[in-house]
Amino acid sequence: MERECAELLPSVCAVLADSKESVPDDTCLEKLLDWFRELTGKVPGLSLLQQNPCLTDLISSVHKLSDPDPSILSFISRLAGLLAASEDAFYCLEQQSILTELFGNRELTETDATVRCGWIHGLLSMLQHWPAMKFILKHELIAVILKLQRDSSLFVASAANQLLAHILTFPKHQEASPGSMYSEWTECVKEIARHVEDSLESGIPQHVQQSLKLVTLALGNCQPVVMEMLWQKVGGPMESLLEKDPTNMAQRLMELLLTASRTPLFNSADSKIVTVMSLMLCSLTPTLAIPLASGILKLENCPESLRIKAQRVVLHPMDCILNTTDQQPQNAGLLDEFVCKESVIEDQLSRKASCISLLCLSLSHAGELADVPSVSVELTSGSLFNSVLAVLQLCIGVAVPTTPAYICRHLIGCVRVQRFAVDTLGSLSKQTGSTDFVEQVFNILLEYLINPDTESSVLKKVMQAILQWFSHHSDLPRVWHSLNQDLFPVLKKRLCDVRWEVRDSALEFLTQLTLNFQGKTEFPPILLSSGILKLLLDLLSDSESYVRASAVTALGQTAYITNNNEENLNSESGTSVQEDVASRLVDILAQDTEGFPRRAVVKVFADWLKQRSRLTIQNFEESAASVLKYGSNDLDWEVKIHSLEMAEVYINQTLSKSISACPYAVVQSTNSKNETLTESLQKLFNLKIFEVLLAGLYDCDRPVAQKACTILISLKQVILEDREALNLKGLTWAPDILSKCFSKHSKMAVCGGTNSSLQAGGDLVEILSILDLETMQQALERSSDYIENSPRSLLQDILAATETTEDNAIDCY
Amino acid sequence: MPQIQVTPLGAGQDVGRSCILVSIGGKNVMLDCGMHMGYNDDRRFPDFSYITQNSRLTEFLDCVIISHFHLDHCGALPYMSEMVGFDGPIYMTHPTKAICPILLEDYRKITVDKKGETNFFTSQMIKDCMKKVVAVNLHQTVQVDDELEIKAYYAGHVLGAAMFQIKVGLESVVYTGDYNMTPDRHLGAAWIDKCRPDILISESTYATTIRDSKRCRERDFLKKVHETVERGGKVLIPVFALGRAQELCILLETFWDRMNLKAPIYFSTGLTEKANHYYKLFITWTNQKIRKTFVQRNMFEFKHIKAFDRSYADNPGPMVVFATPGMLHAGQSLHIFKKWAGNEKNMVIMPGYCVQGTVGHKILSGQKKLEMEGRQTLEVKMQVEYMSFSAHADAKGIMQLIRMAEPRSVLLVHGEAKKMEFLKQKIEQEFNINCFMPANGETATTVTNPNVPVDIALSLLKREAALGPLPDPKKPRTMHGTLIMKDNSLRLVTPEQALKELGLSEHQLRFTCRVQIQNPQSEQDTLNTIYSHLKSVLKEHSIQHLPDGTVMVESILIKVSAAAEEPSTKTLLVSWSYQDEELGGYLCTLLRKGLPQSTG
Repeated sequence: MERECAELLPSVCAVLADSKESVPDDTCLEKLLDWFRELTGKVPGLSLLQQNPCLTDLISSVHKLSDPDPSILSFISRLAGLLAASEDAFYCLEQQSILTELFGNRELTETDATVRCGWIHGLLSMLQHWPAMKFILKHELIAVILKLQRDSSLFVASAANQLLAHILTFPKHQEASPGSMYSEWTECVKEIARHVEDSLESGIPQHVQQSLKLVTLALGNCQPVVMEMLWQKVGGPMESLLEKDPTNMAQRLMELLLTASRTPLFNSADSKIVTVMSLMLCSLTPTLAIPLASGILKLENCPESLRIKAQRVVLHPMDCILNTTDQQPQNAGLLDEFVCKESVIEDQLSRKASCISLLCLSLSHAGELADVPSVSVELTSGSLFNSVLAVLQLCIGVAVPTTPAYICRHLIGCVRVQRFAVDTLGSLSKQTGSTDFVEQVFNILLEYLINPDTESSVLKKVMQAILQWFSHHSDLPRVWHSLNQDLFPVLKKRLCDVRWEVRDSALEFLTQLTLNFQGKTEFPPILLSSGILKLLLDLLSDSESYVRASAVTALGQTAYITNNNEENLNSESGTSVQEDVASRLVDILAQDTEGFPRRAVVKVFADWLKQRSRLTIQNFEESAASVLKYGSNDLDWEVKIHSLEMAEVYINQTLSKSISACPYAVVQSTNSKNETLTESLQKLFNLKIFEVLLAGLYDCDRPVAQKACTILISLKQVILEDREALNLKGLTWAPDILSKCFSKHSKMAVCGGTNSSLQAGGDLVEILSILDLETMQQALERSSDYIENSPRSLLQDILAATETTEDNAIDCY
Repeated sequence: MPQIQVTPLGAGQDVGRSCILVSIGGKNVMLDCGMHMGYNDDRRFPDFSYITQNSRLTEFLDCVIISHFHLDHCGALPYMSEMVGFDGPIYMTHPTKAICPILLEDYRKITVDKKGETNFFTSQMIKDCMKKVVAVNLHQTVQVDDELEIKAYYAGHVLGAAMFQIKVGLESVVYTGDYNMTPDRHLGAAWIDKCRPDILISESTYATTIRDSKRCRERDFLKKVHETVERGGKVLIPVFALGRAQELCILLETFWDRMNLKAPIYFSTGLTEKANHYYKLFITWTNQKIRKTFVQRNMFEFKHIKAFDRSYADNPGPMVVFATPGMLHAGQSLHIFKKWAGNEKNMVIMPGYCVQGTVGHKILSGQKKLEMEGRQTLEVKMQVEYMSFSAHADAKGIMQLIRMAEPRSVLLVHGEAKKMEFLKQKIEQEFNINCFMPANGETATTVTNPNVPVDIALSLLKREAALGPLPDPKKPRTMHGTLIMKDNSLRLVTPEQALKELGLSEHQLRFTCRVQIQNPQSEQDTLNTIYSHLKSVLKEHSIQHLPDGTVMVESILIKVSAAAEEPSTKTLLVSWSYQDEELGGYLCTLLRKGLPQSTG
């Protein structure tokens, strides 16, 4: 602990112990605990206590107060627990009876929920050693914890469960326990197991749920003997729970069974896990059975019969839909056999609300099925594709169910189902056999794109799905035909949609499409002849800044295509588009009031610069110089960072040319190398890159200064390596810039006293040497524009807050 | 019994962040999804694992509703929708949808610049999240699905703030978000109709406060600014981009005009235009005065307030600057503060609350030496003033809203436990309704007693209306008919129509009773006596002597038989149908008393 903190701590403890003082901010105590947690990780708890006796005084005094603040009481319980996590500190506190008075005080567990929560968390932190376990058992705290496990507060009950699970999984090895502790602990485990059994048989839903949660928490990490003991207690009641109250308990039972399936219990003949799971699949309502089935399908070593059953459960609703729309009854359905009665599914589908939730569940889990290797093989029959397509058709009214008609009424225009179905269709694109469905998939996705009623979030998903199908099937000529004939005309409409969400999603889609397919010979001509580029230019002046930014990014990406395919274009118009783009982007950077488009412009230019060999934009240097100028003076620090990144690319490119001027020469001509480096630096100077870097170095936003510093350090390394050979006498600009810069920041300690020497000098090498960049970098790493966020600052804040009397704590902005 | 459950994950007995889960009629709705700005790790966001362990929020939640654009109400939204994963609909008003991303982006920029910040959302995530938002209009009933509907009401507080009514069938909840019951310079007062929700979830920031006059606070504010400017000092007012800032701008603009002051007033660059843009766009959300004068003059186009450039901070002479962010924790406001802090002529006015760890918090608690991370120590000589201009309803306003909405119960959130306790008692006393104040993680449950709507056939209504006195809304009357539950609806129809619709045939249910009396007369004479007796007693009923030897009163049949061995004991067989049950019972009692002596 820092000396200053140690000095402040007693006063802070005194404030906390004073019931008349109130803590200023509800986060202060949490942050104090964070600090102590960090400290106990570094310093033994005992020495913390010995060096700071105020801590012991605080803990012992607060709970003796007649009406302590619940948050302070909770705090000291947690603090005591943290400190007592080390055995020595535990003994120290226990010798003074502090722990007994605090944790043995049952009244604490009968007051405020915050106090109850703190009490449990304290014990949880403390329980790191056998003496702590002994303490819990000696004071018969298990009964209290078990009571809290049924607490009305979610937070308390959940914390109590964590503590109980920790107790159940406590000993990792039997021999590690001292004396009779192991047998005492075993008795305690039995008590908890009995409690679990009682709860499960109680018929009180909250008690049952909590105990099922507890067993689920413990099963994964406990010893086999505990595992068996718990399972014995759970097995019997579980079956009756399934009979009595399957609806309310299904979720918890499912979690329990799936956790148990990942333990050795799964393979034990007595555990009946497979039997119960199988029973649940048949007896639960489909909406409850589907998540269980999905969990079963992800299990390793799952028996084949159970797996098949689970698969049938997931797909049954989809099978119904398939049958509903199938015009040719002789076609094979999705499933040959069902787990639950058809009438049950039909009943669910006959009511709108249950129909929608059932289909959403089935669709989302069916989509996941496609990713499970053991399952996906069996899904290639095509029926799953057909059923998802059928759902999408019903939702948009392009398919009419043969019978019953209500399905159509339920689904038409249902956005929720549409979202799930489109997602599932997208994830099916990578399935083997998907090639056969490309035509149908494109048709339905296009229908959605065309339909003016399609909701914007669905449209976004539709475009994502199209991209997935394109990516997996770009070798099919049909894809390119569809792109040209169908997709681009619709996309053009969507780029002019009244909803900004749709325009933006369409632009993002176009960017991705261009990125993925720019290497394919088929794509560029289609894009260039589509007329979309003109629209993109229009969208640069969209009213919504998100859209303008996306248009900038899209144009940035399409530039590679317009450039590389000039032969496919009327060359005149092609060049003019590019020139126009570059100047338009510079205008946006200079004038746009929003950060997103400006950020996008600098990013695009940085990207263009990186790949400039692929581009032939006229007057590129000029535009890039403007971007650098505007970008580095932007109000948005992220724009400045991107500008510096752009400068970095410039520097690397320029210097790499000079340094690797003739990599294969046996004897390099020193002279020619010198000239090249000098020339390169001159070039960078002409672009005012040093000005940008040095201004950035003193920027008030730390990330900008950090970036500039990093670039300057690498620049310095390159230049100083060649110091002897470098002739920079002609470059008289550097001191001017620096002196300007330093006079502006004359108060900055780092530059103190360097002004005069700089003016006298005239050498970039010297400037870079004078600037202690490494120290600056270190300082920037530790510092920021923010106030000190140290424990000392926190302690000061707590003390200061008690001195102000104004009641402003509860106000909010 | 149907019930509504409310569980706060945030704002339960605190003002940190709002996130309240409501389960109503089998639907789960999240009200607000706020961020706690006092933390720099995951603790700033609500812990969604309490809602669902498997992160399938989309399957669990039917929708999310955001009351207004303040980050303690919407700041966790991108985290929830993009990082935890929620694909369902998010509802907010049009102004909130427009302004929310600006504030989220502003905060993101500040946060990612900070050291030690973990797990924060990106610009792209904010955008993707906003694409899931469905904007709603005031008083527009939005159908989330077939059963769940929501409706927004004006809440004052900030531009676009709304209260939401959530309704499933006949059960309903109203969530106020933050609201203000008194109009201010640019916004109106909150208003709701008498919607009688089962629960009114109300904020209670000023649960025990009757706030001092706003005029006093304004006067105080203007006086302080004026004095500082007069002595040549500079005034810094750290604000959040949109919200209270506009209120203070209008205040200063009017004052400068009236006093003919010359010192420049500046507003952070970019934000003035942005604020102007949104206030023009959503002019209908401002108060009446602004709307009225809008044609002649846009109140948000200020004469005296100019855009600020960083270099102006070094200009000599007095000036007033509104700069963001409001807690002096980063960016322009902190930059200016550092420049001006050393001069005792200057002043900083903090118009809102600051979390621990910010410069704002430090100076408000009176600290004079601030240590900046790794850099210099800053000495604060300038004057520091705190003036709350946040627009929340005070105790009086909360009571007023309860009176307006007439809820069946109230649930308090967004306030301190002790103060809530006081208000809770007051509400329970005055309105004689339950008031809950669950802590975070605790669930408040209200049993509802929903009315079931029943359609009634017009023919039946007419028939029933014709039977008795004219319909009167003040005197409820019992209607008779057959209730049919078919196709998820209930209808009251005539029995005949019910039989027809259901394809059933009618069964007659008759009650029979034997009454023994002593009468020496013959069977026929006894019957005659009965006939004339009943004729004289039951004058209003139709009584017939049928040729088959029975007497019939309405549908009731009476037969007489005598046992051979005891001829003076007569057994009367009385039989009646269900419709005449009352009369049947009466007749039996009457006959048991015996017959009058024969006159013939």
